Amino acid sequence: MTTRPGTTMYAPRPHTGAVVLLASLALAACAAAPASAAPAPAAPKAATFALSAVGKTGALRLHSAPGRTVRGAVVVRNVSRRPIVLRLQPADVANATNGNADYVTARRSAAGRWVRLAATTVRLAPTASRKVPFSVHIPAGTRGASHYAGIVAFDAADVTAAARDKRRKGTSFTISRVTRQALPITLRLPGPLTRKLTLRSVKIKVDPAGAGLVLGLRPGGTILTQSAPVKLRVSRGERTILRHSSTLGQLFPDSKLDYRIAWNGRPTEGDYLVRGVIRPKGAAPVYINQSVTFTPAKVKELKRETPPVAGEATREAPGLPSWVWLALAVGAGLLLALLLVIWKLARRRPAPVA
Amino acid sequence: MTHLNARVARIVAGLAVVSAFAVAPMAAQAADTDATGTLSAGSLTNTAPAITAFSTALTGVNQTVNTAVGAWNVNDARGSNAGYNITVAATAPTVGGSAPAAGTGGSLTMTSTTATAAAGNPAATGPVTSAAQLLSPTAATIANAAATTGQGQWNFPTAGNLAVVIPGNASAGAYSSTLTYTSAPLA
Repeated sequence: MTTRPGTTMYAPRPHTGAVVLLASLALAACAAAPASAAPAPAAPKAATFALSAVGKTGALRLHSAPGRTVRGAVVVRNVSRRPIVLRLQPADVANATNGNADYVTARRSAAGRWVRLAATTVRLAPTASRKVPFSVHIPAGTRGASHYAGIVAFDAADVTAAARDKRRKGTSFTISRVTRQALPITLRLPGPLTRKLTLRSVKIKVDPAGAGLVLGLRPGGTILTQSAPVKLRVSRGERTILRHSSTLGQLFPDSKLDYRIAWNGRPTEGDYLVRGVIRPKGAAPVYINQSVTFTPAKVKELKRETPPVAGEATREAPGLPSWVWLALAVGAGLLLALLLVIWKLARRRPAPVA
Repeated sequence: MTHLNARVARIVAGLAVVSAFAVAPMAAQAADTDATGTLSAGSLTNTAPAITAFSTALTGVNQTVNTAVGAWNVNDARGSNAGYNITVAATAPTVGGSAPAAGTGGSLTMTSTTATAAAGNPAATGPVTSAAQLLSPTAATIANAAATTGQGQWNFPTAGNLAVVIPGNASAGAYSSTLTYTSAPLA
């Protein structure tokens, strides 16, 4: 009588395959878990406060003269259902990198120094509001027809939370948020109103985010420029490398800005021709026709600073992107299945020869 | 006959007077009714989005980590159509509150999403979102509403992205950076 142990042995073969498949899927699911566990950002915090000028809904415009003091008031309002503490600060007005006001409260050196607030900390009950008077003293001998300052307000709780995040232990990268509101103050003094924009430089700059064409600009004159459309083309020989069209926001006089235009891809060593025009509203256009050189040193710097591969963020997860882990898991599962099949085949006894 | 005519005349006159009284209230109803009320100006407010904290292993070369930027909104209830802008500034990353011992050349680049009108806001033109901005202590405008645009509440959905470049020679530790969202009326 011939025994066929193999028959019994191979009878559950489909089940083994299913188990292997399930194991592979489970392994893949486990590997994919960190990716799916990547948390969505928390919900936005509701606005807690508002800052406005007394009797006005927009910016403050004050007419005065050198040596004089002008007075006004702002209103801060708690729009939340909890008590809040607001901090108020005077600010200089500089240009943001792509236009509009950047309210600078640290180391004030311009018209922000002329502003005095009657209170810098305001405690407000839910839905309460408070008027905060301020004064602006314009030093004698001040020149220019327009000067710009600001008053900013922020919720002290935001800054406390940000300070707490700074002291956090561990290995995570935390990004805190502070909501701030600002009120621009235009101080109009006697004198002619003029607008001017000067192009100081055109450069290709390298930073970790990649290369960028940077236009060094300096608004001048005695009044702000409302906007300035920019249109330019970068070429090498007959080939167009980059076309750009955008609009700069409000430009404040006597505050330079470096307007960065992201480069498409990576520049290579050599000369590029930048041609275009900036048309500030109410001022003479600025024509650009300049050659810029991307030096070998810049090529090296770009190679050194720019990351080779972009990764995906996961909370407390290793640096490899999740799809790599998934692929590895599937691969491991298949390998396991293959090994199992080989092992089964190796254990199979040859059928007796009749 | 004359007597009858006089009687008819009196009846007609009486009916006319009664009709006049009946018509008078109708005439009053047909006149314009003034609906008076005051719409007082609201405020310009904004929120700031939550940004997911992340961990990553240092690799010895610069690497970019993309982390999600949450939803946020701006609400212009001033009723002035005066326009506004939103800027963002970022502090240089610190480790445990101090400047990192090693690591140069990190950066944060923010890509904003397009604003959509909140339910119940009929305004047609919202604030214009800027292209991706490299963040620094100098503010960058991320949304701009010119005069006559951007009224009411506008939502920026969760789809924005913050690309953080981690220097290859960074020191390990708990990093933090603060993003300040500032809303302001146009000067």
